[in-house]
Amino acid sequence: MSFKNAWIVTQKEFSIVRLRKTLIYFYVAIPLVLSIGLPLLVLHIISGSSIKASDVQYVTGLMDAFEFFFAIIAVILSSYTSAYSIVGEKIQKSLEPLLSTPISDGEILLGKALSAFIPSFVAVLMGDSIYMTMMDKVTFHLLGYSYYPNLSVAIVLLLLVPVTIVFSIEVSTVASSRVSDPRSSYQLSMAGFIPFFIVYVLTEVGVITLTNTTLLSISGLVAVADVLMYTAVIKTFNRDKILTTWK
Amino acid sequence: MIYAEGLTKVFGDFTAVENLTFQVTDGEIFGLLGPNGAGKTSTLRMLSCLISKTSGEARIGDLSIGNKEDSIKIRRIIGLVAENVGLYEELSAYKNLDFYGKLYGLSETQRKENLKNLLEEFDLWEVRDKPVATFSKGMKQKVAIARALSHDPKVLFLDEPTANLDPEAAKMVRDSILNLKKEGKTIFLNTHNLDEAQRICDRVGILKTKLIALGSPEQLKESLKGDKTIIDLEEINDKILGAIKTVSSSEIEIDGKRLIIDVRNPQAENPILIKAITSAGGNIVAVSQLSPTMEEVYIKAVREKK
Repeated sequence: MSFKNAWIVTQKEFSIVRLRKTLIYFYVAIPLVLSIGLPLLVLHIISGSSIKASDVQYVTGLMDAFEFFFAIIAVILSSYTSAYSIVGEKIQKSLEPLLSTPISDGEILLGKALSAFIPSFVAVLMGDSIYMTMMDKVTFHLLGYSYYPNLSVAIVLLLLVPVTIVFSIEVSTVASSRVSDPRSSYQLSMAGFIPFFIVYVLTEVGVITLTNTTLLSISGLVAVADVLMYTAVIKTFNRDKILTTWK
Repeated sequence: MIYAEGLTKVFGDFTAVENLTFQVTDGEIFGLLGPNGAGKTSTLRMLSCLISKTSGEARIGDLSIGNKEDSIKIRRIIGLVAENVGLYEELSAYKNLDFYGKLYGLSETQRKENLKNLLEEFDLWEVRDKPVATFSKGMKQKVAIARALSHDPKVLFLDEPTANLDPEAAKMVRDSILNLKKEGKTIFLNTHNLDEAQRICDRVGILKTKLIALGSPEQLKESLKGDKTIIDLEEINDKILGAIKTVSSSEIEIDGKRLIIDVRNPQAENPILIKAITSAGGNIVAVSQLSPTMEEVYIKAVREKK
């Protein structure tokens, strides 16, 4: 496996993404809405009320749950790019000439995965940074200290978000082999969103508390899912299958 | 340069290509003709290491198709123009070619030089920075051919390169192929276009799952030569027809004052026919031989296979 070859594919994908303005807006808008909207929501909740101990607990719980949103948007962003990347090749019928070059299937896959991973991760990282800065400003008078950064954020950003992005790219790759329209592929890829949404709902209804241990456990489970999905991806992204059985 | 022996591809219970054996020599243009679903694209894909073979042997030079290590080496020395141009429409012609140049491991200097030469050769240099989406079909096809040549391959595989092109663009592509032959490239061409095969191919194979005919266009036509003798007469009557039937059991077609007679050996049979007609009082205006076309060769071969 040559990283150099994979990176050539990634650079080509970036060249195309740069020309697709809607994709760039998508990457900017979604994290920005969350990073500004969530602190404003908390500001609305706490403004005007007298500070009680229960308020502090409620708000910090809310902030922990909000952090999970960033794992969810990592799924949304990476699925979108990944779906467009592979189905885009199918629509333009560019996979056949690409596969005729001295690049392996794995290098193409890695190149495409990186092109979805890097912008998604950077967008989440920047969105979360804005979110943390704003949230600290909003909650400082309530908590008396800056809540962020903390270990939970480190786990989410450095562990949960990367494994989540990998998972969504894998789901998207398998989904892309079965459809020939980017929207259908994206909709199918959003199946990867469901487990994360369930976790979020369970957190909101109090079934799960997003402690550091819970976040580590979820990250571990997603990492295991990544490994299991990898086998399916390798079987799917195979030149024989791409040219003969892909729809 | 290209060798195939007993090459076979089976998809599930469907045999796409069966027991294909042929050779393509260095610098030759070899055309593979056949109806839809005959296995032309599967053959081209096996030879260009895009799909695996089910059985048989195939080589490009000394490199074995099916051997994993050789497959990468083969892909370095071949260029492919697929049935669909498969260009990145948003990117410029230059960026499309540059991407492939990088994949073939060319240095920046090599890429700049090769791409400039190719884009100039294909008359695309002035539009090199325009998105491919704005190009005509013919221009796109030229970009696809230039892309396949970006690494100066020894062998070029072309799958229906003139399909869906207008006559002018198709001629432009055919001229490009002939120029590549002059440069010494070995060219494997899949085509539906019999006229194209006749004009540019050194040899053609007719495929219908199996290879049913193989030879130069002239050799294949030669196999049908003399099939029809045309005799124009001042008048046709029963006496003349009766005289012909005494010397030939062939089918006779009458078209006005013209007789079209199936013959197997024109050199031997024509004098006998002429003698019989003149003996019966027939006045011959002209005698000619109907030269078979590639279309007739193709149709005959494909029908015989049925």
